[in-house]
Amino acid sequence: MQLDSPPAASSPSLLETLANPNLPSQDCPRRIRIDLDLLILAIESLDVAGSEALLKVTEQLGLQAVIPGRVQLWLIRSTNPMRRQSQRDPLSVDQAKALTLVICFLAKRLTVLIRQLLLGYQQLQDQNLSPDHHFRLADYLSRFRSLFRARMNPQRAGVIAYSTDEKLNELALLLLTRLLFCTGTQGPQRLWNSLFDGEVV
Amino acid sequence: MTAQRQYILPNCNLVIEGLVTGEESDPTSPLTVVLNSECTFPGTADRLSGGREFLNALVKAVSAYAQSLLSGVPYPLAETPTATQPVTLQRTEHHRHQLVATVANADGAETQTAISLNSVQLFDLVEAVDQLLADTFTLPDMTLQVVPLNRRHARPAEPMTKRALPATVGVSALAAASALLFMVPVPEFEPQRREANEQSELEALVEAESANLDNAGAADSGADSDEAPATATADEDTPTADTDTDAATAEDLSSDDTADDAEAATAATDGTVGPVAAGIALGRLATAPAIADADTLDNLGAEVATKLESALEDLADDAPLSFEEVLIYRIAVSEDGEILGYKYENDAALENIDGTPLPQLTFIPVDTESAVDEPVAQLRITFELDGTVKAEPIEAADGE
Repeated sequence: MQLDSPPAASSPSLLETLANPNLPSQDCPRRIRIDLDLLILAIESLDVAGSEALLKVTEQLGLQAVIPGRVQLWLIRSTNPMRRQSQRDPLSVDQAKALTLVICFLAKRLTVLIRQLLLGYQQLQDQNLSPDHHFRLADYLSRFRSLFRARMNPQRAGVIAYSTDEKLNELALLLLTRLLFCTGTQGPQRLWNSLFDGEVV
Repeated sequence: MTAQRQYILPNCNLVIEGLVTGEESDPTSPLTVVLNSECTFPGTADRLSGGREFLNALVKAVSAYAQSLLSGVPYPLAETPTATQPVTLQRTEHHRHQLVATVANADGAETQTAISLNSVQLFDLVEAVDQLLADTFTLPDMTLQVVPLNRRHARPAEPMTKRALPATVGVSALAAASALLFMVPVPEFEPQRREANEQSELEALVEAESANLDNAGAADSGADSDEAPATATADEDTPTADTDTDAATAEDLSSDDTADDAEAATAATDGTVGPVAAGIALGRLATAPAIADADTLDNLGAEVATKLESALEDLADDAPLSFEEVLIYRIAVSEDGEILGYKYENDAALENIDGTPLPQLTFIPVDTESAVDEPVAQLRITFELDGTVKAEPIEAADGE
């Protein structure tokens, strides 16, 4: 686990560990903005103090140059077109990189919980039980549902697709699986490259 | 000598055995030859092992599948093991993943092993592979090679059949519409001389109107002469006048009750001008400049009066004058004494229009539409009962 300890390097060099994708435009495509915000939403659902931890980790990783503070973080997350207060501002590649690194770092901290939840879900599946029977998992799912509904614009077509509890639970579990893969040794690389699947030219 | 590298994770163990060149005791010296690689999943009896080829295939399949799982974009992965790619991973229901590998056992016979993994087991396998790839002391030539998928692999938002539906509907609707319109005959175009038609229509209308007025006027006058306690001579004279008129100049005095439109039309074309046409002509003259010189007006009035008096005498030769009131008309006279239009000022004047020479003397230009720009004089003409004619100029102010 080489990346377990946060590198003390300055932000540019840390961001350089992630290759610049060959995008047709300068800004990040729509899917990336949605994915990053939803992953952060899943982290917040796992950890009540998730958004605070996010800012702390930004400082620890020395990424203040890219994400200077709470407002900037909110603005960056608001580039998600599904949000109620969606910003039309573009998401720069550096900002996306910073978010990717922060997400992977936080996911690694939450590894134990993520594994517990996924294993618990697998056991419930094997016994044909609903997720409500796992207290911690049900907590995560309900928190994710309420956060999603509070922040996403229900008029948007992308949000209408998640109108039922079952659909939202499925999304929450999908995000949990993705967070699990972010916890790995090559988590940032894998997440970063997967974000641009089907987007590069 | 042989060395063993182990990547131990809660749900997956990856053990690589190989030959180390150089210092045997140095744990950092890399493996040069892979003798055996073994992948086991603690808690299950599943076990996969093979040589370098198996390891390469495992690394490739697991890495690509992990990316596909992360992004949701399907990678172009083989679904069944082949000779070149003996390890495949496939998604099954209930968040499970099927790992299928074709491995040769000790006897050399190939056996296919299928292992069902849950998400955590799969992640441990991916993590073991990632640690192997990140480990520069085991196999430095193997590194993580992940690049984003090209755009053309992106899954379309809707299946092809669904996307082709609108286009198909549009094309078939167009085909149906054109088939229906093919039945409709092509309309025939008849070029028409529109202006000429309109002109003749206008003329016909004016003629018909004037004929009607003539008839009405004649009937009224006839009724008046019948009902009024007129002198016996007048009663006797009227029929003789009618017969005379019919015999002599039917077109000049079309005051007969039996005169029909055709007669009126011929009368109009023969040079007489009905009240309506004359009125139109007068209205047309409204924009013409008026003659303001008093001397010229007096001269014109005298000239017109003389002309009308002589014409009236000619008419009286044929038949006695039929009117019993003074007839007052407004007329427009050009500079050279031509009567360009007239309009009755009292009722008797309308009824007895054909008893006066005005319809014959009025000059109607060919082009009735265009405005007149030659100066005209507006005169008031009074036919006295004794056959004299008075003409007096009308001031521009008291016109109309």
